[in-house]
Amino acid sequence: MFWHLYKNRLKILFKNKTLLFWNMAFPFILGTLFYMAFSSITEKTESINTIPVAITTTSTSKVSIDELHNSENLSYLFEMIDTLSEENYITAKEMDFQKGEDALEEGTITGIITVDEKNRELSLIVKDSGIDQTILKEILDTCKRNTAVLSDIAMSSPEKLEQATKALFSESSFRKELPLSTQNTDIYAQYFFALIAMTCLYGANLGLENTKQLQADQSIVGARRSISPTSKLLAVLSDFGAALTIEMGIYFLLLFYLTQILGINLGNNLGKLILIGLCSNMVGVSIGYFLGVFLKGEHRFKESIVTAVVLTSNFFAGLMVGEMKYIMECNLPIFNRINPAAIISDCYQYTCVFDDAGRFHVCILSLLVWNILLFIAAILILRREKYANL
Amino acid sequence: MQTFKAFYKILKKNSISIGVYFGIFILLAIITTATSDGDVPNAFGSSNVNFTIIDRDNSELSKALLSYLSKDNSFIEFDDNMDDIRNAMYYRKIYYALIIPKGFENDIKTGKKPKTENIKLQDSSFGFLFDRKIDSYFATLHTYLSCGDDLNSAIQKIEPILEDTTKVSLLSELQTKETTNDYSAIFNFYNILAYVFVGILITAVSPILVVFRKKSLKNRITISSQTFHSHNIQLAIGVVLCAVITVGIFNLIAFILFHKDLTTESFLLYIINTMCFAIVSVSLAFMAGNLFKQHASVLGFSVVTPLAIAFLGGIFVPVSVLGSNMQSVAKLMPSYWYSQSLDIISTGTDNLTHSLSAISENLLIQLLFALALFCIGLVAAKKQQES
Repeated sequence: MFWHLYKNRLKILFKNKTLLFWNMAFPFILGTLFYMAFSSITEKTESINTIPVAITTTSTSKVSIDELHNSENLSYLFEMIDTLSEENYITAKEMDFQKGEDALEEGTITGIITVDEKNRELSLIVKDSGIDQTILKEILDTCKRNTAVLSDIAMSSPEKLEQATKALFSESSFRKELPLSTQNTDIYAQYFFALIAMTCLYGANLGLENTKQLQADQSIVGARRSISPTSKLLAVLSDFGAALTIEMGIYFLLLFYLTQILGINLGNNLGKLILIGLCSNMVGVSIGYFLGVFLKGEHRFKESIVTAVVLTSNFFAGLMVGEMKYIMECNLPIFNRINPAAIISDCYQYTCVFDDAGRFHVCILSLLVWNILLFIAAILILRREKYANL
Repeated sequence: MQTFKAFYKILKKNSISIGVYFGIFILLAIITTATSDGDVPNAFGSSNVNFTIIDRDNSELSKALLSYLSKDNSFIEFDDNMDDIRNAMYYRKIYYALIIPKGFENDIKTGKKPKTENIKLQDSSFGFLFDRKIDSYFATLHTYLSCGDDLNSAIQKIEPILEDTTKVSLLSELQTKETTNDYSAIFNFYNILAYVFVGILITAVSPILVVFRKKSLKNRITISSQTFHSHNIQLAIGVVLCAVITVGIFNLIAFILFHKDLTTESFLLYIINTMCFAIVSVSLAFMAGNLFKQHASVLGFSVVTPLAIAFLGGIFVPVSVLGSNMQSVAKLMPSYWYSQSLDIISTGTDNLTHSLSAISENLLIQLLFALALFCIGLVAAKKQQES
């Protein structure tokens, strides 16, 4: 009997093209939008690149840059610039000051390093503030510092100059790097986690549709099923199974699209991804069931409420404003522990970013608890409903 | 005014769900505004990078290092909890974490080469900057120590050297924007309204239009004594009223939150800009109401479309950080032109006429978008009628 009901429910849900279309269209459209919006952001805003600079004389200098380059007094300055170029921190091109200004104005270079032959120092001209400009300044500060230290030691203790030079340019470091994570630390992956959470919670629409066809006051089919001798529990379970099957199908399609077509890194633990999908989709469908039987009124009203609840849950999980989940974590962490979308997003974070098995299991347990609570509540309410009362 | 009364009745029937959406979007707008950073543009200054130091040594050296790193950057205190620090770094609240182990200063004094530990974003420019700062600090300190200086005198000697930095000048004076005190928060509030308006107006208006297009109701209206012209005028009044109420509510909220920082001229310009975008939103709602037959389809459209417009049009993600191709795509979104107007208004204005002319092109483009969407809606309605 169960399989008969399950099979029929599956066919009925598949025939509801409008519902299926939006459940499928939403994640694929939004996933594509996210990919288009975020694909080059990290490279543009965070990644270290070789900084293009021009090497020029000062604006008031009467000599050319070539003459300065050949001057013995300033050779150490040009050696420092050459070293920076060899280490790929900068790509330096010598030119006139005017040409340098033009290049800076056009944006083909980030800064102009001017060689001041009178003061024997380097200075920097930039167009605006930014991290590349700050890095340029820091690189030149290091050069200035090294010169100042060696000059100071040369004047105070010239016999220690060699020792000082060796210590200053020693390759040994006082730093040891600890990894942030062995996996994907791209902040924009957070949006995709929230998107997958939204997709799973959108299963609430299927759950809601199922309750519509179980309740006598919501549809003709609901009226017929209410007076049929079929066990209500069996009907609910088979309908739930059918909705879950469809949602899992959409989930796997989405995973395939994100990982294989768009190339989003969701880790390589397929078992965990399947477990997360199963628990998340169960919660989504359960939300639909619970709201479908708990709310009184027309189906359209219930649809709006379900959408509003799912949207709100996902807003606080970072679907629209990526750092919203962190803001809630800092100000109201308990909310993240109970928000289903945030829990689902955390499951992915502890799988794909931080590989924290302990927290992952806590999240899975939370989802199972949500599922059990919502489903049992829905069953209890449905049990009490009689055809005559509706 | 029978059509208008029917419009109002249907709106009243859906009032709870519309009210829920209003509440959610008001909350969304306020929370997004409250969590915005006050990023006021100014003259050249080193990039202010958020970092943290876990000082397990609590020595003169660790304090001196903290003082040096804090000079151009923002120190954010964290407890000695690696999970919290990693989480903060993942969400870009900090870009560098330095851990000074216990006994670090003593090891330095005894000539050992202890190592600090650092956590940073892989291949990031912020991490690179901090690495260089720390390497330079210790290299300079180690040089004096190797020449026989004790730690305290070495720290004192390197202080003036560290303070003597490279002279940086600007190509031309940066045009410092005249900003209001709460520039970022006002801008962010109005910016998010691009998402909010589309979401609310499609949710409120489109289902009503779907109801009016039902065959049975449409046939009854057709054979009634009410003219086609009168029917449409009344529908239009209902739709415009929804837009006006939405614009009114959110501008009232803006006034309540930011009345100290809003001038009359800028507030008027914000109202004009939001009104234009509201017209775009109702045109979208009109198009959706004529394209879709079912309420579920309208709901799906009301979720996907605002998100698409917000992400592609530079609302949730600034246009400046999008790739060049995406920046071209952004111009196809009405929200882009709305955001551009906001940018101009937010820089401050003394002369209303002058500012209005500055944003007039953006307003006109928004109205053209509205006209195009309205025409698509009309075509869809006609095709439905013919079929």
